Amino acid sequence: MYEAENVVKTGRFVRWSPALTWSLGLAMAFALVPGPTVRSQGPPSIINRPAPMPTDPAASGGYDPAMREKQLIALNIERQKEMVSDTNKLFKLARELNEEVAANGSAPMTPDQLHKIATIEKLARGVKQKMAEGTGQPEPGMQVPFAVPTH
Amino acid sequence: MPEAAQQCAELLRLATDLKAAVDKSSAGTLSVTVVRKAGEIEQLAHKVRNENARN
Repeated sequence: MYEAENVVKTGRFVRWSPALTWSLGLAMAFALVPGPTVRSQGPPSIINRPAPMPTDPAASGGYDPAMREKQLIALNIERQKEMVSDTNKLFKLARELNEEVAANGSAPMTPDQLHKIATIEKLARGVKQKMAEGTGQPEPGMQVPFAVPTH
Repeated sequence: MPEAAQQCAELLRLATDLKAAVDKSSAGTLSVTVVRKAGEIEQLAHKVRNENARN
């Protein structure tokens, strides 16, 4: 018993004594042996069975094309909003930076200006990735050098 | 005109082009112009940052 408490307290596996092993084995055996079944002699009136699961395509591993299409459209709209927002931020930063650097003349760039350039770089990378990872079709008349997934 | 000023003016020009291309694009459409312009901005910004960080 002391060893069992030790196992629980320390959370580590300590070598089990034969007594502890026996008591655990007995407990498991009693748990597995079914008790005496007392049933009426008549036909079973109610059989406890789980209710049938609703036919959900997602739960059954099915594929609902209409739902998938709606999700893709929503994702594309959300991505387009983010791209517009990021591009507006990028444009604003580029305009501010241009004005500041033009006013400074040949003075070296300040840390704030370097930070703005880093943000511009990050925003541009994000816009590029969002557009490239889009799930839509290429613009009409565009020659795309890579395959565009349709789904 | 110093080089940094020229590069920043070029960044602004590219940003203006990118904004126009993004405004023109629609959701679910792949715009190669947007990808190309954004890539150019990314490269130029990286170059400007590296050159001026050393000074």
